[in-house]
Amino acid sequence: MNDDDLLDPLKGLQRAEPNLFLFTRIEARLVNRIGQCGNVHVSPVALRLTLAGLALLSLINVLALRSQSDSTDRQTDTTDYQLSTANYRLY
Amino acid sequence: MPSTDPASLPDFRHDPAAFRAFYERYKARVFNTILSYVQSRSEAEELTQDVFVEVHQSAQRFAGNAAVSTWVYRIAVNRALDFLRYQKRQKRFAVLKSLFSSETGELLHDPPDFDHPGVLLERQDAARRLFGAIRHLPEAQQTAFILSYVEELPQAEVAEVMGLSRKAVESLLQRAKANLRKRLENWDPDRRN
Repeated sequence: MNDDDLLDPLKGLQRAEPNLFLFTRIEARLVNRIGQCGNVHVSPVALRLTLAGLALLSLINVLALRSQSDSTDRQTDTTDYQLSTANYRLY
Repeated sequence: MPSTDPASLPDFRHDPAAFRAFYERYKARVFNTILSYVQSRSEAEELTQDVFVEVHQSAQRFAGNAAVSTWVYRIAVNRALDFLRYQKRQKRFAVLKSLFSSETGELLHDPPDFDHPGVLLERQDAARRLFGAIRHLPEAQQTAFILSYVEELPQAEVAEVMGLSRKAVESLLQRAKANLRKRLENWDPDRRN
């Protein structure tokens, strides 16, 4: 088999035309892409995790404030108790 | 025609008319190049879309140190080769998983015979065998052969697309033709090449 025989099937080969709507499909893909880049996309999972994180932080803050006020109350109680025991100490 | 190619490209993101004109100019070259590699009209159309999306996004980065057609061919060839590599990986995985379809008993992941839509009717059988054999060439030989004999690019442009010297392209073509000859001479109609 020489070169001519090998390349013979390609003689007169016409260029194939892509689908007429291919350009419309490309445009649609580009619009999609631009839409995705233009709007900041936040996944629902990330959104839920962020909200849960915020709720947890608020809870920790509330608990911390409560425990602080409790310890202040307890300190006040202790001081009162010490004073009263001092007052009623037997000599 | 590389000589009439502009040295730089407009920003297609802000010039839809220019992008349309660019598409009209290059669609057949891109589609036909990819079609010769992937040998499936639907896959070739998908990959042609990918090429034009890439062109649209990266036209601004086109440096102008090669002809626009060379740059476009390079993107098209790379896309096609990436797809073939992906297909090969799938094929290897299919061998591990299952060679045959449980329903039809047919061999999976083996592309059907390809009839190029632009081939003359009287040459269809021979063309089918030739395209079947092209599929088995190593990547570089395949690219050199497709760009030279199917796309009929001048050897200098083939060398530029492939980033090789003209001598290297010439040698690739010799080896490609020798491999194709060997495969076609041993072609057995009862067994797919």
